[in-house]
Amino acid sequence: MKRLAKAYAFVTLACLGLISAQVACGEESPPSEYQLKAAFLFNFAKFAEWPSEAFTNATSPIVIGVLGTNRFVSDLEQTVRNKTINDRLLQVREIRSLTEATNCHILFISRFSSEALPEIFAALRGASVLTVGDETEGFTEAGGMINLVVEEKKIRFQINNDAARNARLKISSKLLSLAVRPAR
Amino acid sequence: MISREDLRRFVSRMRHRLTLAVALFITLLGYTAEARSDLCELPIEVLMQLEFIPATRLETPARSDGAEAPGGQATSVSQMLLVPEMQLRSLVLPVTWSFCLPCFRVVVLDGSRYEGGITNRFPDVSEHMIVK
Repeated sequence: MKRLAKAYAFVTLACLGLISAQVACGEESPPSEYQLKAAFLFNFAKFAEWPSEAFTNATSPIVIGVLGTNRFVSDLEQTVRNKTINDRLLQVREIRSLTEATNCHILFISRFSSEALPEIFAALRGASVLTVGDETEGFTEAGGMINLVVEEKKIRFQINNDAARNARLKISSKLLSLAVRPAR
Repeated sequence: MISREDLRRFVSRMRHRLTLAVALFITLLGYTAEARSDLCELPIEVLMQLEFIPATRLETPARSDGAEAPGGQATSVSQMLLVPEMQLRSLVLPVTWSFCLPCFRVVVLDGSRYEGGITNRFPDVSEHMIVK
């Protein structure tokens, strides 16, 4: 009798587990491209370390600037709203000039800005700004630090660690190990 | 032979287990919904496994006669063939970059061009423009 009861309970639980998995999968629509990219930016902030002088004080926010695609700004704002990393809030800014860009900690550069990359990187020289490209060909080769790429409908990223080190940024070994190309 | 007492105990246990199972089920559903609503809570390895809905770079604009215009997913405005009087509902890509004056250009089917500039902000999906 006890065995029967246990078997019945097991089957019930298994069925419920399967149903819940099916419901979860069936109703789950994939995130939008920008929602997912926003989550990646959040993770980049988690796995990067800025020099102390990049912040005015111990609780000043991590500023994420978005250059060239203000469509991304709202998704990014929603994604990182009230989020903190090491007691620092994340703040999103739409960037309209290179002077503004130097005041960011992370700069998301849209692919539409690819022609201006040399100009952007020249302006950021000496500033500890983690540059993130949006599927921009030649981004890391041109001096960018992290480039988002899409492989088989999934997001991957390339890292140019030399560029990050030159900007006095430390990228964690975990992030480097997940990059699609060996970190330089 | 199963006695009535045994049956009663069995039903009682089953009821208890079913309650637990339902609680687990609800918890799982709640967890799934929460995880989905907050992608930041997911480890980056999990994010790397997620598929996504690609953002529309340039939506297929609707023509005034209802027909679909060619070149909806063009990656560059200059690749698009538009018809005059067509309303663009989405992004207009900058073709000449300047931080002070982002410019964009649309090549219209008859060869004429529309050029525009926005002095203090970048072109956005919310921009509505008429190609004339």
